[in-house]
Amino acid sequence: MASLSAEDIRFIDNYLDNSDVIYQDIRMEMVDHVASAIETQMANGNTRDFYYIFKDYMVKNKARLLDNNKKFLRSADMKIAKLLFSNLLSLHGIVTFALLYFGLWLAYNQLNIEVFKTIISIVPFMVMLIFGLVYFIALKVYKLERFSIIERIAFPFVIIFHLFSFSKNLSRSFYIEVFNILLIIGVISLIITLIMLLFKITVDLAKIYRKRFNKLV
Amino acid sequence: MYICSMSNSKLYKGSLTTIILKLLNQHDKMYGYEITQKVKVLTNGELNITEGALYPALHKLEAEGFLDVQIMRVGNRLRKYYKLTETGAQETVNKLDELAEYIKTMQTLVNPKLA
Repeated sequence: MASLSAEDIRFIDNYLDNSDVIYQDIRMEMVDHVASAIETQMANGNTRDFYYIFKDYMVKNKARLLDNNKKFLRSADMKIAKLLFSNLLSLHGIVTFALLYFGLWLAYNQLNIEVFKTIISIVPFMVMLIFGLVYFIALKVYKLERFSIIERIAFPFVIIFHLFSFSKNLSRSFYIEVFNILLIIGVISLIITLIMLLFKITVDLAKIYRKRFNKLV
Repeated sequence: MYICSMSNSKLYKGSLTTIILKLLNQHDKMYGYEITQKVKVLTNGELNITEGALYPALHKLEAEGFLDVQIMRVGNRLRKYYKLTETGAQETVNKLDELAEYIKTMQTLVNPKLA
């Protein structure tokens, strides 16, 4: 069967990239699909130049290909949610939560209440800052490819962060009773655990992607 | 229309996952375009699975842990192969049983003499 040149493949890849298929893992599969369809047409006797076959194919199929892009992102969100849940219920998830709970309880008992409040306010902000910085360096300095699931992690991260802000505001009116303090420390510990697990998931996924793609690209 | 067929796509739509699982059960590994072509050949062109239906279904099965992924360089590009996991193989059996039951029920309804 006729095989498309590296230049033709690059052309398809650039076209899809410019059509907002920004994630490498989704685009790679679409490029292969489009290239395979064009090669089949060539093998079946279509002797026109690659560009014209490609243009006709896109006129007919572009909308469906881009729809696939949107649906892929929904699958990515589902995968992240499952990973987050299974990590939370794993041994390291439970141990992390327990240690944070214990640490915050100790801090509450040892420190001045204002210092304690400052600590629980600063931790998620610091985490978010580090997350953003690592992402920026990875994309801009190391010019790493963008992968769907890794970037979609920002979505649950933002939700968790808002949950933190909400619980922080709520805690202002509850600070007096011991039961409420235990509850607030529990919620804050859970939120910080989720943030840490998102970090772990990001690193694990990045390793999988590196293993899958770096040897091949 | 996502699954194009000569007759009625809606009748086939609910069976897409079963079709994919069954094909992967018969082959060690397959890539997306290969699946569309295989279905076309097996059904003599009656059923044409579009990319807008196939890939979301494959990605959903992958996210659910029924499919494993392997990426290989083929010519000048990368290709993503799918293969069944152990739970995927079990899911294939379940889905095929469900489909057989469905066909039996429909046969009872539309053609009682054959049932």
